[in-house]
Amino acid sequence: MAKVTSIPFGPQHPVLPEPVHLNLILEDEVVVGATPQIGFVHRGLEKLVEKRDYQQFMYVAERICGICSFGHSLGYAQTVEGLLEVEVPQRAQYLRVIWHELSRVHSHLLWLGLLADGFGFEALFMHCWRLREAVLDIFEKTTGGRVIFSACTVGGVLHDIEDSELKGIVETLRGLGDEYQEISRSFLNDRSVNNRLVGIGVLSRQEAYDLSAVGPFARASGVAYDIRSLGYGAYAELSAFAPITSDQGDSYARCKVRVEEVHQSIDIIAELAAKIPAGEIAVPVKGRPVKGAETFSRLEQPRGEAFYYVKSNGTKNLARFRVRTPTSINIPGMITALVGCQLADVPMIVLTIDPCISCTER
Amino acid sequence: MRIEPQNITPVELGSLIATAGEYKDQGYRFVQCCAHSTDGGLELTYSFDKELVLQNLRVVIQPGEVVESISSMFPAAFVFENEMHDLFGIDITGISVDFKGRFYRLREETPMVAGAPEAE
Repeated sequence: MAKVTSIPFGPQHPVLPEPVHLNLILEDEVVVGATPQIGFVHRGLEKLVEKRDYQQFMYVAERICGICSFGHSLGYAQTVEGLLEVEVPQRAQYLRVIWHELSRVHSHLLWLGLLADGFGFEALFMHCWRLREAVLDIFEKTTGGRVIFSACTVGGVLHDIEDSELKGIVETLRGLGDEYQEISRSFLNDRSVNNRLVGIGVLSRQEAYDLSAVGPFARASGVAYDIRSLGYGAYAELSAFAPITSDQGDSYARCKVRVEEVHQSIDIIAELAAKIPAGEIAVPVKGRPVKGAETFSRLEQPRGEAFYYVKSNGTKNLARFRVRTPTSINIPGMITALVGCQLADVPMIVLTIDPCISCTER
Repeated sequence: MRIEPQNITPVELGSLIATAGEYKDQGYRFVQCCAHSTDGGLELTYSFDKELVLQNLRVVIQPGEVVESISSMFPAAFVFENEMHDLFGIDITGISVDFKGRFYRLREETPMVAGAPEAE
């Protein structure tokens, strides 16, 4: 008869850069249940919207997370623009998507490095992060920041990128693409990597849908759900866009989807850089939203769908700001993916949802 | 500039479960639920998505009213229902994984209720 034990995983663990705790129930070495616990570093940033006006709060929204910083500023900006019915200039919309896709490239490279580190392939980890540095250099060149850019504002963007510089960015990314191809081969074909990922932590398509999984985590289970398909901002100007999916639903599929999304993001940046129109990068935004006005909006962060909501009380300070981050909705799916796995595979499966506790503990 | 239609359907507290059940039967996916504290009570918003079209249910409750959990139909809701309980003090029954007020470690109770002091 199997021995039933309960083992705490986290909140401090070598694969977790941020605190999350799982209470694992095991039968011998097999996980039969898990209860998640977050809330160790909850910051209450949503409450701060009552004390900052809607322009100032942009800087708070951007600081929800260091990896998805641009995405949060974009999500907040487009929601407030909906509230104020502001029309953003075309050039600004292109620049926003270019920075947002660069953020996806750097986030996925960071995650691939962490995954390699998680299964002990240190050389692969170093190569991923070395490539990521080049993307951070692009951020620094174009915005002055490597983590927090302060490039987005309500009504547009604060920095322009010269067309010649855009060309240079595309060349840099194409150069990275060649090196990245080599790294991708290790992730997708190396036998020792496959041993750690293939068939591990399977989530079926039905489970992913029923558990509301989002992002690469859901797409790896065959749920072709990507908010970029809505065509918000300059995504509407792309000649074609289709979410990258896989049907396997295991850790390998999650890795594969992210590996391919890096190529997709580079293609999006190249297409938009070639098409970007000339013109203004921001419109002045003044005045206060009408009392009781409210807006919902969504965007596709590197980790999946993020949901934003704002409500006005008629003053310059908003009454409510709400962000539902991808990690918080992926937790139930992660718990299901853990059931039936070996204890030794738990860190891999937790990593494959790309957990961002900073976002979740906004 | 709004990027998607803003569909908000007001529902009575007593019809919340039935309406959420209809969404479930129609194949909607749970997106989020959240609360907003107003002068007289609380506004709850439940969001669902089907083929990238967002539908929001709006329920207005008075302080002390008990809300039934939708987590038996939409398992992912337990995260956000525990959050609504901890931040707004909303009494939600039947949450599939109920942390009973210990989901977040908070210095003050129900910090998001209107009039609560800003966290230092």
